[in-house]
Formats: sequence, C-alpha cells, structure tokens
Amino acid sequence: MAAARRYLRAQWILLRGRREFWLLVIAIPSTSAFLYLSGAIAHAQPLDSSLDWPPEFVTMHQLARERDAFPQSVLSLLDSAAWVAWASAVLGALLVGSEFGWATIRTTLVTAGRLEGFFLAKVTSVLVIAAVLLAALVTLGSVLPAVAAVIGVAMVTASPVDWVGAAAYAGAWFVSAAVFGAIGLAFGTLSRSPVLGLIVTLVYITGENIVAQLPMWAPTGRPEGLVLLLPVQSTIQLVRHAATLAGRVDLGAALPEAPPFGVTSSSLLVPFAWVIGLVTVAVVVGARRDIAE
Amino acid sequence: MSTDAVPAVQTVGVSRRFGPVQAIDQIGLTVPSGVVYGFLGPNGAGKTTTLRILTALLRPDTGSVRLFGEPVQRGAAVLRRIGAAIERPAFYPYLSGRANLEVFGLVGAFRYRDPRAIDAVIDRVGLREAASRPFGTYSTGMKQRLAIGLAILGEPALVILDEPTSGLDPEGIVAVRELVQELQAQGATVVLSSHQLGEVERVCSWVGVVVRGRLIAQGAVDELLGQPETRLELASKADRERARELLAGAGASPADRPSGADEGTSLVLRSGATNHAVARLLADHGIYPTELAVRRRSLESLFLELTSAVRSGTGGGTG
Repeated sequence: MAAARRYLRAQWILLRGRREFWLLVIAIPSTSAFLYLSGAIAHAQPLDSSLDWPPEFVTMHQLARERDAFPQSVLSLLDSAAWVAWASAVLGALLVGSEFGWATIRTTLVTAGRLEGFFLAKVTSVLVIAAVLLAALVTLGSVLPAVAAVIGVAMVTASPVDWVGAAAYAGAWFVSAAVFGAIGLAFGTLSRSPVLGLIVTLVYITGENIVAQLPMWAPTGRPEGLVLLLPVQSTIQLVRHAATLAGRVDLGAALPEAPPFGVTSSSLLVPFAWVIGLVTVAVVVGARRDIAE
Repeated sequence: MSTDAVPAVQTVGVSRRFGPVQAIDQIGLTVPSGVVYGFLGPNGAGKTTTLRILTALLRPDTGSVRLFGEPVQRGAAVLRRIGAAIERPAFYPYLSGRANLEVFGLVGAFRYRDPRAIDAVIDRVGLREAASRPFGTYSTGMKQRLAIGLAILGEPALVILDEPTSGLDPEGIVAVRELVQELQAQGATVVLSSHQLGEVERVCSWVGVVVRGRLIAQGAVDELLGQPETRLELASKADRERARELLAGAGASPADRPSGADEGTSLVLRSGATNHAVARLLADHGIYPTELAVRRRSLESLFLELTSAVRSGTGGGTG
C-alpha cells in the first residue's frame, strides 16, 4: 500500500509538469459546460410559430429542451464523456511510451525491479484522471441547469432518470476510457515512442470507427458480428446500453425511421476483456524486454 | 580496504552475443569491496555491455554475476544496494532536475525519507543553480551530472558509472574525481569506465582492461604498473660508471641494482630506494646528479601496450 502511494505520488509529479495533462483536464469540463449553456440558450428560443415546422422537428426541439433540464442534464453532460475516452487514449500513449525513449528512467526502473509497478501506477493514474473528469461532468450536469435558470433560460420539466442506470452510464464511460487508455498504453509500449504510439492510437481508433460505418453493414446501419468484438465498437455498445438503462432522452427517437438499438448481453463483457488483455500485454512486454543496443 | 572480504562484484565466464557479434566473451571481473575500479577498453570493447549485465539490464548468455556475494537477476534485493549511470543521461525533459530526482526517490530502488537528501545530492553534483530548471534546458555536462546525482541518491554501496566524465568541462571532471574519492572515503565501491586514462589513474586503485570482449588484464594499479623507476642524469660517463658501482655495492637487494642505462650519462633504477638515500650515497662520494626523478609507468602506456598486443595477436590473457 505504501509502495502504491509512492508510485502514485511520483505519477502526480510527472502529470503536473505536463501541459497535455492540464490542457485536457481544463478543456474537457470547460468546453462541455460552454456547449451545454450555449445549447440551452439556443433551445430555449421558441420556434417561430408563423412557419410550418415538420412535426419531427418540433418533437426534437422539445426533447432537446428536456435534455437540458435536470435530471436529464446529468446524462446530457455525460454524453461529452467521449472526450474523456479520447483523453485517456492520449495520456495512455504519452505517459507510458515515454519510458522507453528516456533511457535513464528505464534503466533505473529495471535495476530497481520496479517497472511493472510503475506501469501499473501509470494505468491507475490514467483511470483516476478519467474518473475525476467523469465526476466533473456529473457535477456540471447537476449544477448547470440552475446556472442556466439564473441567466434567464426557461427550463421545462424533464423525464425522470433511473439513477442506478445513470451510475451504470457513468460506469460505462469509465470502462470506455479504460479501453481507450489501454489502447494508447499498448501502442505506446509496443512502438517504444510516445509520439508514434499516440499517432498509431489515434489512427487505430479512427480507423475502427470508419470500418464500423462502412455501407456493408446495411440494411441495419449498425455493425454486426465480429466487428462488435473490436475494442472501440464494444465500448460503444456498452455505453449505448447503459444510456438506455438510465432513461436518457434520445433525440433520434423522434425520427420515425430510427433503427431499434439492440445489444447482446455477452458483448457487454468484451470491453473488460480488452482492458485486461491490452494492459497485460503492455506491462509484460514493456517490463520484460531488454534495452535495445 | 580489505580485499579478503566478499567482493563487491564477481563475474565468472560471462558472455553475451548480439547476433553475429560476440560482445563479451568469458569475462571474469573481480572488484574488491571498497575500491575504485577503472574498467578500461577501446570503443566497442564490451564495457557497457558488461556494466549492463552487472545491473541486470541485460542477461548474459553464459556465466554468473554476483554482487556482494548475491546472484544478480532482475528485481534481486542486492540491486537496491547499487546506483548506476549507464545509459546516456536521459530524464523527463519537462521536469526540473530536482523533480526528476524526486520521482526516482519515490520509485527507484531506494527509498528516500528526507527531501533534504535530494538537495544534498544536487549540491554534491554542482547543480544547485539549475535545480529548478527543466531538464530539457540542461547542457550535456549538466545532464551528466544529474545522472551521477541519481546514481548516488540513496547512498548505494556500489556505484557504477559509465563514462562519467563524458561531456564534462575540466571543472566538471575535477568535481567528478572529488566525488568518486568522497564516495570511496565513505566506504562505497565505485566501478567506472572511462577513456580518460589520466583520470582513471588518479582515482582508481584497481583496473580491468577489456579488449574485443575479453578481459586481458585486471588487478591493483600498483601491481600492474610495477615499481616506480628512479632516473638519474649524471654529469659524465665516468660519474655514471662510479654511480653504478656505488649503487650496486650499497648492499641493496638484487632488484636495487641498476637495471639498465641509456646511452650517455643516464642511469635507471627500478628499486624501492628513496631519492633521498640515493642522493646521499652519491653525494658522499662527490657525485652530484644533474637530475634525479622518480617516474612510474603510466596507465596509458600499459593500456596501449596491452591493446596493441591483443591487436597484433601476441596477448590476450586475463591478468
């Protein structure tokens, strides 16, 4: 326990000196808050009654206002947690890959036999940052409707939220951040370079999403089969499922042709398997490999 | 220093190959506790590979390594008693020198309990002024000093320094020399590799010479370099002959006899006789040398002899 505390303290010294860290932890909550407030102000404007609005649009407008009001606002802010997942990927690649570029660091850790513990502390620190950011989003989702009301935004009554489901939704985003962080960690370790690891991580995540959007998945419009087992797609499944459990108001529900969202319970375990697998590979490969001559 | 104690470092038959290249071959180092050991060799001789094996950064293909009598492997408790600066000095560039040491104080082999220990190390390596600056802004010499600082943080019993004076200015070289002497005075064993043979000769009491992956000589510096020579320059050939007779007949042991002479007016004594005794003996007989100097074979000349012997195929035994 004392060793874990020392490792985490060391990680804090490392983190607080990095501009990327401060940029991410400040930008994500502040941008989310700004987007929420600007959206709430825009949604509060009544539709021009002199125009003939399509009924779906009117429904979506109502749903958007509902999403701005507490308690739906908590889930709305959590929708921004995709950035938390991206931030975890960035930090995973940068924080861990760097140990291979700076030889004295690795030398000291290997000599001390502390490489595995140091890696795990890095993984933990990425998860702690993700948890803090998610908590910040939940807090903002609870507070900002009151702030919006103070600045004159008229709030409607929102649909109730299943709080257990909401906790599951936040938890699903946390797992998503862990998967993204583990991808960054694995590529950072395998490439032995923070920059290359980051590039490969971003290309991989984007590439997997592009593959999942290919027309070959028609007519359902959603990826199926093995694609759902890929790390990013499996977390998307998990997050969507948790959002449904939480009772999140879905704007897409206003569209008559909206495809039903289905998920198999077995696929919900896939992201956990990815986290364990990727972290294990990174730690074992990173800690066992000899230093390059 | 007692050489009877368990050696700080002992390797037996250590070899390591990288693909087609035999980096080191049957290295058998013995570093007595408490000495400063100079590990010498030309570029590519296998010094760094050996030092990496000592610190478990590399595994040997064959052979065994013991530090203070305990076998070395990754995570071994004995590794916590050593400090090493082996790789190029590379730290977190965005952290200050102090913060870098703080990180390693927390996660390194040792556990520093007093933050003042870091300040003390910073002072010892002469980085007080630059301690708060980011490492990325350091000069080569400052980076090297920080690496040495990291190696001595936690007061290790064995300090391994690979080319510690590389990139240092003359002032820095003197500081490293003094630091090494301080470490030895505190009871630490120091193993250092260097190309600066003059520096090694000044601070090291033991040396090992590795050439083409093989340890070709090892031992106490005094033993390897032999007895110092006393060189006499006399006023005339007649004086030289008289001096030769006097010195030979002075009741000295056979080793005290003049062992050779240059053409002309020089005499060379390879003996333990003091300058004072030689001067008194000759002066009593009215012979006054124009020059009387004690010279010792330099480590540089020994090193060049050994390495050229290996290259020409006439040497290669382990001393």
